[in-house]
Amino acid sequence: MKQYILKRLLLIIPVLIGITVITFAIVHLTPGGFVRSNMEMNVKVSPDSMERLKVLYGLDRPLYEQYFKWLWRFVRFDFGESFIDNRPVLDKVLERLPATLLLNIVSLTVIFFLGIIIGVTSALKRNSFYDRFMTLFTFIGYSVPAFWLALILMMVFAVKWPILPVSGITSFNFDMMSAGEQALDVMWHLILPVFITAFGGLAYISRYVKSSMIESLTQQYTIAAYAKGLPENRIIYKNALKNSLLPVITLLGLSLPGLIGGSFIFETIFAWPGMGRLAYESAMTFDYPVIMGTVTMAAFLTLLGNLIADISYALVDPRIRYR
Amino acid sequence: MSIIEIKSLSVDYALGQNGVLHALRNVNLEVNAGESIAIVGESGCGKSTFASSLVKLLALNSKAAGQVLIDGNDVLAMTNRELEAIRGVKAGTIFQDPAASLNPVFSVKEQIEETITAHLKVRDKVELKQRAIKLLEETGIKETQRVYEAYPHQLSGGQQQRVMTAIALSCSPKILIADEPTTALDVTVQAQIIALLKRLKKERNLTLILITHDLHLALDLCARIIVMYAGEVVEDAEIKSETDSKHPYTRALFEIIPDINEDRHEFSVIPGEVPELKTVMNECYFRNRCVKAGKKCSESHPEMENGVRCFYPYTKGRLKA
Amino acid sequence: MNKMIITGAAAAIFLILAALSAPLLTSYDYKAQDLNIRLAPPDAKHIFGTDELGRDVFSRMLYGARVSMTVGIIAVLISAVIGILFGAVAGFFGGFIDNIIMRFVDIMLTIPTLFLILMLIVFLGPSIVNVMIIIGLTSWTDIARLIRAEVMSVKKLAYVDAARLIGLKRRTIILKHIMPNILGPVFVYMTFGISGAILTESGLSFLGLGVQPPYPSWGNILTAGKDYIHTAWWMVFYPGLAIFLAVFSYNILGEGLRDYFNPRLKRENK
Repeated sequence: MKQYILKRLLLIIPVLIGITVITFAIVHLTPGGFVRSNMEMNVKVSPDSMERLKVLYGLDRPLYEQYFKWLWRFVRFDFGESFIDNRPVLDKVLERLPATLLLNIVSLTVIFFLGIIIGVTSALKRNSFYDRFMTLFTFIGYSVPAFWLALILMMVFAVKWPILPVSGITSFNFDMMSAGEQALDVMWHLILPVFITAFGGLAYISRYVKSSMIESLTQQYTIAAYAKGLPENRIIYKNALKNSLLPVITLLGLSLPGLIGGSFIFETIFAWPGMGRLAYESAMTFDYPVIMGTVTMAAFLTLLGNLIADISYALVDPRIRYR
Repeated sequence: MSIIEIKSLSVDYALGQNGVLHALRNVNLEVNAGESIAIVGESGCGKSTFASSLVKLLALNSKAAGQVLIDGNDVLAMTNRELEAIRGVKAGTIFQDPAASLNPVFSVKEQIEETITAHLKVRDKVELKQRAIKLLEETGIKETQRVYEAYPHQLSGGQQQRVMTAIALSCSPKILIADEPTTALDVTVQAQIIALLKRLKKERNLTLILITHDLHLALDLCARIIVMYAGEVVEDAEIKSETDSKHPYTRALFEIIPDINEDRHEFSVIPGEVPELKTVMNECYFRNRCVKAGKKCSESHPEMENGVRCFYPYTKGRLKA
Repeated sequence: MNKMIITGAAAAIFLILAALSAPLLTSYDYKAQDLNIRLAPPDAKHIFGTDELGRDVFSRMLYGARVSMTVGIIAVLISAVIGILFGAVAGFFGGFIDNIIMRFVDIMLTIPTLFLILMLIVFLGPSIVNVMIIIGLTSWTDIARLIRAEVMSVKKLAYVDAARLIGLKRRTIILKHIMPNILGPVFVYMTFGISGAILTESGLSFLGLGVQPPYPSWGNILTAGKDYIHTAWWMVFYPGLAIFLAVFSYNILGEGLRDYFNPRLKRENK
């Protein structure tokens, strides 16, 4: 077990290095080059921050030296300063992190909760009308463009029946609310974004749970459980369910990059103050250090999510726990 | 009174577009309490279906007709709820592959104790543990404490099958159904499990239903041998050696037992194959592979008579007809 | 063949035909402005209404279909070529080469694809060609992993050993024995890849990072529509519906193909 975790931790190192190499390569090897395209396209850059940028990336030095300098900064989470307001990139990214985490964690919870229920019930009633309906329903969710659904829901809820907020994470009078009201207000603002994210993500989880549930229900150990005379409910909802749900934990890690990555189109529409919107805003203003910072941070979050998922899986699956 | 009574049991499998497979055809059998019987035959002859019918563990696409009476109650007519009081309580089952039959994500402790709790309503942790440890000791496990806490993958194949046996016997059933209990195990382990079954049968006065393709094993454990062919019982008799058997198929099974005294190294098989069980024909199903087949065999289907289903049976006690 | 393949393929072919024959299906120029009929609701002349510059939305959508179909197909071809190459090499040679390639795949999987795309677009500039190339460059990992796994399993099969025994060259083994086996799964992934690429392109164009106006794409029609959701629902509804139907058709086709090429799954469904 300790060995497994250690091995898993060591595996992060090459991936982390790889992320830095790729980001570095994109910055330095794309045609036009970092600084030139920057000067041409962004009039807002002051000569001062340009100098700082040159120092930050040491652009006059050989490439390998530049890379190691950049790596050393990366290790200390020093991504430089924003071109737009000269604030440290790390600060800008970190202040957007809570909104992204909130949206993703709530969405993931909803997706896994509903996905597991749909998957299990479809497995038990396979080929029934319910099963077919759920397959179609989740499939539609999987195919529908989130930003379009967002616009449609905005049309419905902002124009026709203005009952749900369609923009931002808080109401305009948020500062005057009590703590309880503030929490409710945020939840209120979460409803539509979470609904759209969850609708899109359900198919993946429910399909996986359904097939793994069908598989465990046909395994020899399930037949053996019947032969033992256990009550059917126990066989289905305890024995078979545990077998089919354990691997779902690793899906948690795998679905992270999609959620975090997908969020920027969607955060932009809902004016959600998350990292995705920050990435988009900085892309539109050619604020390179911030773009790099958000990409690196998103990759880092994914890596962390994967790690947590793998280790939790190792903790709950006896086949890995006691090897 | 017989503990198991099977009356004209037939089981069909629906194969969709491929028609219907008659896995069991009109099986009649009585087993007395404490008696040990072995069901033998090649694969595809219906013996696995027979094993699953005993406690109605049949696949969803199957249809059973007839009766399986355990202590006078028809198992086939029971609902799932009613069956819970039969399975594990009146009849315990052990399977071919213990590694696949134990749930990999539950400990041995959980898998033994859940059965005891389900049937005997014991919930006290100390008592549950005592019972579990005692069962593990009874099935010949040495490091009981370690095995008790272990997960299936941490056990050897022999230990796994002992654990399965402990689970099957945890609620003291009178009947033990052993479906190919040694097939997936190493040869040395096989011998240990056979010894275990022999001992338990004697100590607990079990009615043992052994399902096996291995006639040798059947002779070792059981006095009464039921030979199945193409979904039917073709011989049902007390058999100790080849000369006790009357049916040509049984004799053929004897012929292919590997004999270490003989200088024959290749695996021998009965030529030909078990016929497809899809059609009902008015002939003997074994006749194409039979050394004794005559005119009558292709004209009508033989019935069970004096424990054998054959028009030209061997005479008991003689090697040649 | 099953119902899903037929439905999905029919819809996909319909979309491609509509895109190809755009000039025949509409008498309006997609860029012809008519400020007298700005934001006119759908009627007999303009069946999907007009946009903020009085352009016919239906015509713009027909030309937009060309963008979606081209981007979908080209991007997938790029990703398939890269994915098959990497996957086949990793699976066939194994060992060190396999390790290097798979670590690279791990890294690609860790960086959220859309962020990577965003970054690349910012550096290379937004254009339809760049969008195709960038989507292709960032979406080959699934196909590479699939090919690698298939090649590894096919390599273990007896007939490949037999082929090697009778002295066939490596290239012949790959082309004649391994490739036919993995074509099915590749088709499946490519079909899902097309729908993914359509979705990504429309999202990028919606944000102004893809196809640039005045050339229409489903995504950038929606961008304009976003500002008029209070008044001109048709500018939001129809292009989005088109994206959804295109994505849905290719997904259904992919789903059907997956069943068709996976006999184990087929049996389960019975």
